[in-house]
Amino acid sequence: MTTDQELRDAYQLVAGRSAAVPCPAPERIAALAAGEGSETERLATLEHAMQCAMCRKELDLLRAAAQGAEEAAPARTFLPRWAALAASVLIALGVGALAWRVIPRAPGADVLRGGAPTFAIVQPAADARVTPPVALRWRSVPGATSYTVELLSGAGGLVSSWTTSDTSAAVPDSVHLDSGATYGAWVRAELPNRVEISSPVERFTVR
Amino acid sequence: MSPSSSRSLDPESAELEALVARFTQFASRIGRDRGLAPSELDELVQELRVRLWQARNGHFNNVSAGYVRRTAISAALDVIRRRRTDRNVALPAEESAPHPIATNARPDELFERQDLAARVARAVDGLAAPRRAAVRMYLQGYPREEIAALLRWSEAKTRNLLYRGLADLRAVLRAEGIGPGEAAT
Repeated sequence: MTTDQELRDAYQLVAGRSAAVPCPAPERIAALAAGEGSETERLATLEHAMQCAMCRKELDLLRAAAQGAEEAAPARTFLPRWAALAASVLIALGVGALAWRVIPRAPGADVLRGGAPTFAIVQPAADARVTPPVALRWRSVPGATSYTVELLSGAGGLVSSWTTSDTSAAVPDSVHLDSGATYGAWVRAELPNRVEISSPVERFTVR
Repeated sequence: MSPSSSRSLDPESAELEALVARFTQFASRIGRDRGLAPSELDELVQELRVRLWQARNGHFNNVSAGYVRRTAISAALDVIRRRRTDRNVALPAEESAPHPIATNARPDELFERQDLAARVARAVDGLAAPRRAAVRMYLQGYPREEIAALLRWSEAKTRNLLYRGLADLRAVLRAEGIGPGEAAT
């Protein structure tokens, strides 16, 4: 037995016949299908679903429903004409107001600049040499519900990953960092509605 | 007029029917990939069509992409609940049929395959949790992108956990004298 396909063939002979615990509620399978809930919950539901033919079918049905809707749904909404007209007027007013603020009207006039600071790791600094324990700190993202930190090896492989609601974290003691080795780290901020933004990877070397 | 009628439709109704047709097309493709029977998807499509028509003719005055998604999931949940309340209903033939095993295999070959499958399943059971989840999905035929989406893992994390999980699995099987344990992913 050497190939992935041979492993699959063998596994699928028995998978789906051995779920020994009650099936999770349909809502939990729907949460899994939508990638919602904690990772612990998703793993627990998945553990069951992958061993229960009925629940796996339910999961597949929910995925087909969600993905089918996403691909088929119209790009526009069906709005009544008066609402569409009102929306157009509001947009036009908004664009006009913004243009009035942004476009320089005369030499020396104020120009609106700025915006949210870029989501990035601020500690350790890029290419810094650090002494364990290594502390990481990053800019907060308004509305973020959690941050997932991934520590990468110099080759880009995953060394460790953990989730926090804070904007700082120390590399866990359980993670051994080799002296003289270079590591990378990046943070993913999770926002409501399954939106996720990522920081650039910052590299640092362990003293 | 029945919801599925295509005669004398006003533009919005025609657009809704077109939406349902697109949904059917996409969901069928996804369902086919996952081995869902057409009858299972038919029930879902009917539920979705009825709900969208009711929404259009009722107090809703717009149908957004987000609304379609929520409605489709809600329709799927109702289909699932109905099936759960009547688990005595015979499963579709493709569900209830045993996994195909070469019919010309000798009894001792069948026994060997079943034994091998049971040992692979036990080895998977013994993997660490995140790796086990990735390996279970992969061995059930889910692509890496699907594993990453369900577990909200990055592509790199998914690849890493799957790679390590399969390596662990092969190591366990190798220790039991099953296969040379070559890496294949």
